[in-house]
Amino acid sequence: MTWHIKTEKNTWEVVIGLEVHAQILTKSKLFSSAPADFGADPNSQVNLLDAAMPGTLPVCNGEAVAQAVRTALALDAEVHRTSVFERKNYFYPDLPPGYQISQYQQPLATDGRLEVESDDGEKVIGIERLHMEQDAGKSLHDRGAVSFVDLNRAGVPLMEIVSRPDIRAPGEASSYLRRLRSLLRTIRTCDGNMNEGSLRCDINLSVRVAGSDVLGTRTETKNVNSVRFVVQAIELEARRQVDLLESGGEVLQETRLFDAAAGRARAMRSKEEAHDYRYFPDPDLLPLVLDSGWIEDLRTGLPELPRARARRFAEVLKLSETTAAILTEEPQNADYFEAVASGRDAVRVANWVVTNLFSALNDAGLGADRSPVSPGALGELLDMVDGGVISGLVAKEVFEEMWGGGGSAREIVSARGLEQISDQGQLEETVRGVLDANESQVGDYLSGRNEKVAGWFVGQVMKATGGKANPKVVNELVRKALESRRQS
Amino acid sequence: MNNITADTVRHIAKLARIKINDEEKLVPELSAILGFVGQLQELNTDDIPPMTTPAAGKTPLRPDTVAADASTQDILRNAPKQQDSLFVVPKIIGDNEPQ
Repeated sequence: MTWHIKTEKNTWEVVIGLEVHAQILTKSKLFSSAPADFGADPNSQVNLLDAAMPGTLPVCNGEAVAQAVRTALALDAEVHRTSVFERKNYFYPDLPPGYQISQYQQPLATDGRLEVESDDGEKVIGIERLHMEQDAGKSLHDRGAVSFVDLNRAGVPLMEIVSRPDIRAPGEASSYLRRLRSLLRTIRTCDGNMNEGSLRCDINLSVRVAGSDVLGTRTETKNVNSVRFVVQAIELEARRQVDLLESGGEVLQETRLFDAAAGRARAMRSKEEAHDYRYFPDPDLLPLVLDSGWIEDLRTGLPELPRARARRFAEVLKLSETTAAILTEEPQNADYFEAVASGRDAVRVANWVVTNLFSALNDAGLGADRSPVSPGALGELLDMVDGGVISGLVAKEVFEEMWGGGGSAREIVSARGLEQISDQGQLEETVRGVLDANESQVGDYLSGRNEKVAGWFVGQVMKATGGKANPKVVNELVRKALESRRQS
Repeated sequence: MNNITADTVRHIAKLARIKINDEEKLVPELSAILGFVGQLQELNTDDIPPMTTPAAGKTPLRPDTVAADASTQDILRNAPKQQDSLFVVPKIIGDNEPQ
């Protein structure tokens, strides 16, 4: 079932390809030794090469190449033994040399794939190519009559990952981005931080009447910097193109800029004004030639990838597909879960982690690696539930206190006397008290008018014990006490 | 391929940010240069991989270590205008920034 836009006249489908620019995680820039960190003071991380001073020459960062190769391998792409750096020529104030060093005709890798979630289950999206390039500097236009330029970002290593036009729905696009981000974070080749710009997305989109195999004219929507905005931008642009075509107009091949705050996009430039980049091999850089043994070493060194991990969670640990997918979206969440689940009932741990821990983390805006409750501490709490020391209900209360820094599960339980009451004598007395106080409900049960009232009694006893009673024991005792009144 | 017009000359000049007034005169000059280089097209290069550099070997790779070779003052020293450690440039009109 493909995503469709239905109008009175027609049913339309969308054809989408995504171009993602991901900042390669390295200490230094692609061709200079200046630091590549985010958020430094303006122009404090600029080497002479980044400012295009005469006489400087680029020297390629080996780790940036290794990171790009790891990414290509994780995307099942073919890594080319030889690739070529070319100059992409254009003038802009944040690009001091007048060209960006990129890869064009001979990219680092081609023909990869990424599995995404679609309405019809898992679907493979092709990756056309992955290449390396430099980022440009940053221009600030929003301050008065002049523009400002900060070159800190100039020369930072990027990977451009280009999908094939295989995406057919906004949901598939968002899954593609989330899966790609999760993959990059798992193999630690990009921090995936969309609001710092280390992951940026351009959307190529066209529409056509459903069932047609002709491609319509496409537009490119640039710099959409969150998964939510990608969905918005796609819906917006698809609707715009459909409206245009149905009212007798035509789609122009143009670049559009998405404005998240205004919730709309506007045309930046049309094809007639499009740049003619005059690519040519950079004479300052020899071809990038990789040793096949080195590539294989990088392949061997890859950690377990998110999809494989999700499959293992489902097949070996018997988690549901949904739970496995939630747990593996962020590598640190999966690590946390595995640390707690080791030696415990994985399904129960998973449910607890997803329902209680993740909602607390979400509210606090934290990743599992920064959880105030460590995997060991959570494990101790869950062991106390399994061992019958506390009830599941009390466990949630204890967890909240642990979250707030109240100490370990054992300390909190003993300090507050929260141990589960499993003592038969004590519980029998409470049950008797509750039954005595509610004679009409006892009557309802005994006359057979309402046998479900037994459950209500269990609830009353739990309430009377402040949730500390062992519900299983209470259940038995309530039924026994009710039955015994039948005979007397 | 040798059909240079005044429009082509203007387009190339615009891409190179060069101001020209005599594009008509440049048409025959550019055509002559392209014609000369065009002789290369006569060679059959079907089975020959493109040579991107006359130098032998492969690009050397450096370790990923940080080393600054310029301070903020050094970088801004030649800027015609600066403010708050930023280069000040004429207002950029339009969005002709590619990626």
